[in-house]
Amino acid sequence: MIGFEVKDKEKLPEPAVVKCPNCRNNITFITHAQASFVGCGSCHKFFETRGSGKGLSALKFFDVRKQVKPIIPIGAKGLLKEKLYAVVGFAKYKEVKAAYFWQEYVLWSPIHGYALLAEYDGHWNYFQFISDYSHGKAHHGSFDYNGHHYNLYNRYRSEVQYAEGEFFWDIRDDQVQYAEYIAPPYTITRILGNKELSWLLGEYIQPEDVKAAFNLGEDMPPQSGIGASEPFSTSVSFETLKPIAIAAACILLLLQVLFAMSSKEVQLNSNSYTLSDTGLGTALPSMAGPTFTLQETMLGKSSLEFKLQAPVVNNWFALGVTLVNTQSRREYDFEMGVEYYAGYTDGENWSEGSTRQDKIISALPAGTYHVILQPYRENFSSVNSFTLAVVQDVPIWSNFWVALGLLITFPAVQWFRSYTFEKRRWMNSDFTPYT
Amino acid sequence: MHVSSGTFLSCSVCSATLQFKAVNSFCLVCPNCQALNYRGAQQPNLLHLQLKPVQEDMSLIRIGTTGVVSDMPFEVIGRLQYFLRESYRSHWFLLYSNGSTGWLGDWEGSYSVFSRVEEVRNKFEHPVPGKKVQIQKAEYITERIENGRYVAGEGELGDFYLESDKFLSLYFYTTNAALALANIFISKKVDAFTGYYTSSKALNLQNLRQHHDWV
Repeated sequence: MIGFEVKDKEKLPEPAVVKCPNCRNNITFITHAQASFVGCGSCHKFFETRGSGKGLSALKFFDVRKQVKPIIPIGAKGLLKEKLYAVVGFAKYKEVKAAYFWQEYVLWSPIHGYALLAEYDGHWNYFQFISDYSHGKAHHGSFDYNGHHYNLYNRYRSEVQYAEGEFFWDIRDDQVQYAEYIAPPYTITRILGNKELSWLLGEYIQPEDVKAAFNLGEDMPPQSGIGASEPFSTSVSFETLKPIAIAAACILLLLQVLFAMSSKEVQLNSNSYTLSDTGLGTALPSMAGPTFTLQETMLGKSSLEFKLQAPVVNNWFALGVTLVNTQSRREYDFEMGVEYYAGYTDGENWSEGSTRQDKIISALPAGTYHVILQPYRENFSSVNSFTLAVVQDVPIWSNFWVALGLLITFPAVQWFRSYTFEKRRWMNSDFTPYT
Repeated sequence: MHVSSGTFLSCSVCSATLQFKAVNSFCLVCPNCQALNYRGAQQPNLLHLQLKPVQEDMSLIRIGTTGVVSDMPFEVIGRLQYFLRESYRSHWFLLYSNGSTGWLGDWEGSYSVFSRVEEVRNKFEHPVPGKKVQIQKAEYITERIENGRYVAGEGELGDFYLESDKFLSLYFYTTNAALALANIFISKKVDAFTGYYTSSKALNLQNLRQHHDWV
């Protein structure tokens, strides 16, 4: 043991300084007697503070070739998750059976105790010990905790390649087994050793938040791939959008049903027209259509449905329609057409097309309209008449389908992005649900 | 000789003047020589007559700190400090306003309230992390197994057992914040405690050590 006598009972002391027995450089003890183990940042030797002898008992040298400089210096203080921590220890780990490396910073506060800050491939997680969950030593593929569903992501043992600063546990113990369960942005890690069973709750932290918390000047390590607990999106994820989109679609459907039920569908006109035989080419002489008046509606504008029928058989008929508002003189043009073909080929009857077509013109202002018709037909066509009916205030389903399509598009895109994101996240796991 | 609270006594080793504050205190650590001074006939089993001086563990609590447990005000009047191979624990001894006493646990940023219970050793044999153990009719999960290194103390102390620095210390918990502790000695005697985890906010701790640099 080394002496950390209490010098001032009134206030917390400054860090203690002890000479490294190996290199004689100063080793700082921020946690004082809490530190059970300490690594010298100068000579890379690792000591036990409560060994059998007096002073620091040497345990091992870390290979200097495996040394990593901590991005957050030992002793740095930072406000993380509204808690003021000091970095008291730093360790570089390697997975025993794979070439995965990560760094851990031991955070400590006399008010909040210990926490860990882990960095792997530029992704950061803040861990705290929890005691309100345990499934013991059993292997679980998933479980629920605090309203989140956690899935097993990784199981491994680790070895420490380098460490400096203070530790309250023996980091050299490579018999410890870790099981990581994720529910992004959270991770729960089970630590199971010969002498310990403990649980850590981690939360993904953006590198910029770490940089800001500890006021770091250096660039943060670049991110690679998707972090195990990296959230897809905090604001517009598919899971967030799904209930909103379903609710909006239900409201849209309800409105459409209400509009459809309230539509009067008043027939303004229905006439049969005889075509002249004198037309040259396909264009026939234009003719006067019906005249009708649209009354002011609840929504201000009216929708009209034009229903065209012509006795076409193996030919076509088209009709140019011009609506002229008698007050504003504004014109509304559109075309309609029917075509119908039928025959007998290779022993089978076939047909395509129709002798009818309906067309809806929406949002026509109230007023009186003259209709001018411009018929077209195929040369040598036998079509010599057609029927045109005009119906006011018809339900318009096309707008509903367009709105529904737009409503679904963004969640669908987000779902696809989320799916590919999750697939990439689980690429690094032996327990991926994606095959 | 039975020593009442408030009466003065002389340290059995260095003759320093000492004074018990609590009627239910079991012993008192002489601040001069660290000798344990017992209440007369109450001293049956503490073989370790001198404790090591307490170490600086950066605890905010000190003797004189006050607080509340379940609406009952208390004052801290002593401390046992267990240093284990990989961890440490401070057991602060509390004097409640109604004259009763208890323990306040303080280690690694967690706070707990517990009291000593009688338990038999065979419950704690072959400890394995994760193993479930019945303690005082409740099922606990074995969390940690530690080897004792040394024990320090100050002020007045309640009933506890200590025969040497060599002991096995077991930590237990339940997922609803209950905890249990057991120190197993070579003589097969057991010093066990049960209680629950709490927070510094719930304890409403006052008269703490100054810690402006950490706020």
